[in-house]
Amino acid sequence: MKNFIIIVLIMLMIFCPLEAEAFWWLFGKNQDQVNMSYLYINGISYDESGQEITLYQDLLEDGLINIQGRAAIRKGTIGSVRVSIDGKETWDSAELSDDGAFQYYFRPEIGQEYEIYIEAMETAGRTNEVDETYKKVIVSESNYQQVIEERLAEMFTAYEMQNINSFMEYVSWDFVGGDVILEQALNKDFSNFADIAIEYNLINLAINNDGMISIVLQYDRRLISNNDGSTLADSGLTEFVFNLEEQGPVLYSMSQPLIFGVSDAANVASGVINSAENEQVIAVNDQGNIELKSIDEIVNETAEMNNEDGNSGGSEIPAYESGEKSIASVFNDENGNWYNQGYRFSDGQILERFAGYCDFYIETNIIFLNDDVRVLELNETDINNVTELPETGYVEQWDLPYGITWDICYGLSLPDGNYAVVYFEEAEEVNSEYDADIGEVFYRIRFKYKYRDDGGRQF
Amino acid sequence: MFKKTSIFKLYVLCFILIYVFIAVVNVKADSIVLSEVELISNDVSGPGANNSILNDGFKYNGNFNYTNRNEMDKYNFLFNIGLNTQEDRISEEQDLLISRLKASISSKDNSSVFNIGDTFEYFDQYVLNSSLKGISYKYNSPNNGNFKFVFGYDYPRWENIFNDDYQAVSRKSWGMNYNNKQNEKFKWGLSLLKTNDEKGVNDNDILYDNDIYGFNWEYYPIQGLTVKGSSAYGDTEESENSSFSGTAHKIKIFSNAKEGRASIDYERVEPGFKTLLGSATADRVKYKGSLLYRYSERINYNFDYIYFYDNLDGTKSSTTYYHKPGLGVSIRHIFNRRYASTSFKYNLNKKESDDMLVKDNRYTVNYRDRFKLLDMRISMSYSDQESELGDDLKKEDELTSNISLSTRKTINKYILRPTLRFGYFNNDNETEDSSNSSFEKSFELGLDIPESRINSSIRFGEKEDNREEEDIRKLFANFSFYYRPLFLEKYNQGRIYLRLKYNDLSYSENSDKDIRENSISSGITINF
Repeated sequence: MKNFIIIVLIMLMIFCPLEAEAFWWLFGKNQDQVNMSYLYINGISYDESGQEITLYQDLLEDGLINIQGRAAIRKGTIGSVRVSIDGKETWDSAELSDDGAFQYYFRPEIGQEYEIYIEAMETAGRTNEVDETYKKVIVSESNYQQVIEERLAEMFTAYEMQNINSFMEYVSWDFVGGDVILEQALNKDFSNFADIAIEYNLINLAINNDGMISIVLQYDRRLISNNDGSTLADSGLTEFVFNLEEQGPVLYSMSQPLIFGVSDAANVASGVINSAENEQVIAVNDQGNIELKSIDEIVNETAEMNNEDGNSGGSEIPAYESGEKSIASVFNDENGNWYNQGYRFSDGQILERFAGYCDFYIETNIIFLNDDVRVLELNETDINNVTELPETGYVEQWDLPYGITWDICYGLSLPDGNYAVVYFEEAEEVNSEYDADIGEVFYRIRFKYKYRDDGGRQF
Repeated sequence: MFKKTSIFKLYVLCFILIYVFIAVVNVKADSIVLSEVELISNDVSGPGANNSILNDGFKYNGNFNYTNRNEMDKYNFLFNIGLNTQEDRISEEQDLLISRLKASISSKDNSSVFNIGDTFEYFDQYVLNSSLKGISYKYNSPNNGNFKFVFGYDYPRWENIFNDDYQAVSRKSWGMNYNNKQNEKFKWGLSLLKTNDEKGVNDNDILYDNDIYGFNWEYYPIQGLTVKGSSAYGDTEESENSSFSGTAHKIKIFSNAKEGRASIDYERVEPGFKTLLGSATADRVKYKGSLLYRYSERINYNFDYIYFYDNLDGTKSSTTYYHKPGLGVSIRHIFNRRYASTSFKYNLNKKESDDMLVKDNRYTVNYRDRFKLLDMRISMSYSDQESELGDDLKKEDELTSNISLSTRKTINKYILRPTLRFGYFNNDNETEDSSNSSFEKSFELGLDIPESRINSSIRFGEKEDNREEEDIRKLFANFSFYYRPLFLEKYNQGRIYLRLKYNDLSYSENSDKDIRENSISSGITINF
């Protein structure tokens, strides 16, 4: 409430004295002079652009440059408005309305630069500060696709070379996630990544008449962590929106999966691209380590960060999944087939043994591991006491003296490079149980597990 | 589907035919063609080759874009198509992609514009800030108002529509926007966007039914000052039969003049506000103040302050607060030296909640000067960071420094641009008494021959990363050569190029991650 009151007070300070003399941000304008209420060049505001504007040949409506504005004075009438496009060498009259609004068109030559000045004169002969209306307008030979491609190349080079000053030149002051937030996220990126390599292709581009360009990039990326030297690669689609401003296209917004500022993705990105192609995306955790996560996990990261039920946030251990499930050995009455359920850590799915890859599965009352999974018997019966797995010492299931047995914890080294801890309770014979979804259950094995998807061994 | 090689041959044939056609017949000035053919040879080796981002082997890449403008009676017509035939991306399975497809009809007085294909109509940051595959119509009223209507699907690529290998949620959207210029000082607009997820990709995809109503305005109370704002209400239904709603508001007070630039921003986005095609971060209140003050021709001052927090509805166990103040000064012609300039910058990045406190103080200095022919740039950044995550305390400091020395020398018709770069990074973790550091050195030589329309450069170097777990050594080299031959003179930006890239990464402890990448690409680009 207190903050709301402050904002209201600030608003009142601005809105109330509408006819007042200039405030501190006006830098000395005087209402007795001839002033410009507004000025636009092809829809680009003078106030919101700098000394130079670049226009692109394929964005000129009817191939014209259109200057629109309104001259005003408190006491007096505007009598004429002249425009110079060659640095005051020659002057041409603009179309002037009674209220001081004026318009001036000219057809530019492609590749040329124009130095524009506007002079408004009131009937008593006073004029505006002509030098304040100066704009250099460059009509680029390039079309906007080339310009975007060049800008992307500059941005990716600056990012890969970890040159933050160059990169920020390509970011709009209006960047939706916040330009300062992005800059600080880039600083973290450059601290967290020892090496950045990204290849990309522009696969979709759309532009509107307001000078905004939406692009979709397909990327392949490899990052090396500065913390531990771990290397991760990912691929996917992402979306950027650019605004055409005086220095050409500048970054206006970025969607998840984020390419730039990934160390603070939750605050920098402001949307999610709609694509099923982004399966696993590189993310950075609070410790600055890189890990692969699904887009959904990344998007929900902020919400989970402070969730009491979560096991991350406030812990020195990166997030891991844990839980308790059961798999069953089933005789399916309808189809007359046996099938055995298995479990896959990477997506938490319980699957029919022959319907997809499982890390382990049940057959009657025995647990079998997939051939690619390595196992280590742990001298521990309570899974809560297992906080770290060793890096080596894992063997194939067949090398264990008694196979997988009950009521003891095992460490699993999974084929995708991740680790899990698992604890199996003794198989339960349930011949009489009929499950409407899966059929007649003969044996059920309950198990507890802990699993990390970032290759870490701490739980 | 066609074989990839067949498509590429077809593409090359079309490219040649178009080139010949253009060479023989003078294409109308209102046609723009941008085309590129590139051949790539990638060689990836080493036990860690699966971490490469290069697609091993001989590959191709072709881009073709065609834009045609025509006019008839009272209407202008535009047709635009972009095709991309490629196999150089690891994850890209499709061999022929449509990168742009758009047609539009507009009246000559520009009062009506109808688009079909790639449409990108911006309503407002919260409502619509994304392109659609569909149609749009815009009517510009002579009374300073305009009306937009849009209908389409939020697919990032055309392949989502006609190729089952590329899947995305079938997200249909339609909406309208009306903007009115009330008078010289006040503009306002109303928006409506309805978005409906018709079909997901996976069974567990959450499908949304999302309605957004927006109001935006701009006010120019006095010369040089702009006040603008957006408000939106979002009502969302999820496939799990739950629904939520919320509002988003943003106000920006903005001034830009010769003497400086200032802005004050306020934003509030409720947790229940969801926008599928706009841009917003839900559950956030943000304040931002920013000032660039051009004190003199030589000296500029910068002040920024950003403060934001979450947990607006109090459902999280604690609220996270962010404070990001910053101040800086940049000085030109320092020490009365013509080419000398420097800047100092301080930023604090502070994040805190009940069980967490992260503080990062960062000090940055940049200095640039020229000593006769030698151009020197130095940047140094020092950061001290403290974090408390529960009972875990961490304190570390970090130093980053980059130096580049470059010059430019013209010898007859040759322009030489040698550059020497050094980069140093060091991170000391005081809590764990550990550190990691890296040192990079590289040399670049640019060679331009303007008379022969040649630009080229070669850069090679080494980077060593040292840390307790593992050291990494990277050797790298890049070469690029661009030539604009006379026979491409009539085509703006027409050029032939050759690029070579070499990367060698070796790991001290896990040599099974070692990787070596070589890439050679060559191509031709024309544009007219």
